[in-house]
Amino acid sequence: MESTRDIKGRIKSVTNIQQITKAMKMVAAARLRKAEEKAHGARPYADKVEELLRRASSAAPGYSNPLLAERETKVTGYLIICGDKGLAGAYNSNVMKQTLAEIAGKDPESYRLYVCGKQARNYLKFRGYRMDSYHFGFSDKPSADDSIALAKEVIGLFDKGEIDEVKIIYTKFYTALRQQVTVTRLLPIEAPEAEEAAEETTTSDGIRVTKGEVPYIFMPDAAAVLDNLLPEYVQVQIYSAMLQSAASELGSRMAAMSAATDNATERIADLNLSYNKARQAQVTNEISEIVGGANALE
Amino acid sequence: MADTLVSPLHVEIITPDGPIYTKDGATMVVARAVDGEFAVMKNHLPLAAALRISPVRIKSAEGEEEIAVFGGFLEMENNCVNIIAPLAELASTIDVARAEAARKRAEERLANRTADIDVERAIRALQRALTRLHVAGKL
Repeated sequence: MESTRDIKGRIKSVTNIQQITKAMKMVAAARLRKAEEKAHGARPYADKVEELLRRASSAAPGYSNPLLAERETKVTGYLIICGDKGLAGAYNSNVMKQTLAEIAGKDPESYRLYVCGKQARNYLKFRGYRMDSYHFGFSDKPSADDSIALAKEVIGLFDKGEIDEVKIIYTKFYTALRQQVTVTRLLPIEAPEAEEAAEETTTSDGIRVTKGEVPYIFMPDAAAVLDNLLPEYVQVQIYSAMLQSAASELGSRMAAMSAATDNATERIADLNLSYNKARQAQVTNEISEIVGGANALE
Repeated sequence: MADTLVSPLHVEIITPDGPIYTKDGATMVVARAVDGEFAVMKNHLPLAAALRISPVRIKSAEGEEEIAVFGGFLEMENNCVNIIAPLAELASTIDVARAEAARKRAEERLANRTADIDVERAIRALQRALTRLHVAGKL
């Protein structure tokens, strides 16, 4: 049996760990709230861009753009959005598992990996995968600038024909406890779906108008608007994926740290029990020694 | 969507970080599209325009406001004007010193062009800096 001193030391170290995990949990919870707000704040922009894209492309039926052109897929680029830091439960390893599943059995020349997040780099490097670009430092606090840089990079490569398709692997955020790794195609941009059911509104003059009934006047023309809109659409999709991933990372971390804190509490209770047992054994031991000694003197 | 019974135009500026500006009761919005400056007023037909890096002027009964809008689009329907821009700044949030420095840098680059200078990029940087300074009233 361990001595009381050893057990005391262990209780102390578990308590210290618990304090750290508790602090990390609270930090993650506070930042998760902010990340969620940010992801939420980006929605109106994304919705508007999408709506504009839909209406502009229905106004320009013959429009063609390299970003829309389907071509034979020889090389697929994967944009992987992963975390910089660990201690986030299965967050990073889920993204990695999905990545490996995507590229499993493929010729290394038929895919390119564009990696965001230190954890992903370490994982892939250790396993000997080639990474074609690597970004880090924004996994839990992405800014629009980061997504603009990524969008430029993939659009540039796609334009040059180095890759024929771009897929993004990220973690979709549902709730703090539920996230799902998702793979979506960024490029070529899929033809936007048809107009949804028209909604009716009334103008200030009391005239009832149906939204989208009167086509837009485009300045300078629908094609020019689309030229500007398509790269923006790609960027918006990347940004929203990054924001969702950030929220997922923080959510995972919060859950993981909360579980760790609970485990530490349990562990401390167990150790306390052993400590008391050892202490009692020691007391009993001492008494029996004293009694033994007294008996020997008689 | 906004109820526009009392006010002529509802203006909203939306960036990826959320709406940064809303105004009810604007009378006119002046912006610069790729092919030139234009203005919209009440009851304009639905419109979508690709914008340049330039200040957007919003006129109302209280006066005129200028907002730095860096590209993006202006969309108008049913007297709701939505400016959808990757980046937009209000006069109060502009860092004048930084904009001044950016302007100098861009001007220097354009003044002594060498082969390794990305002229397009320098022009865009200059446009951004000038827009900021203009909106901040330092020009």
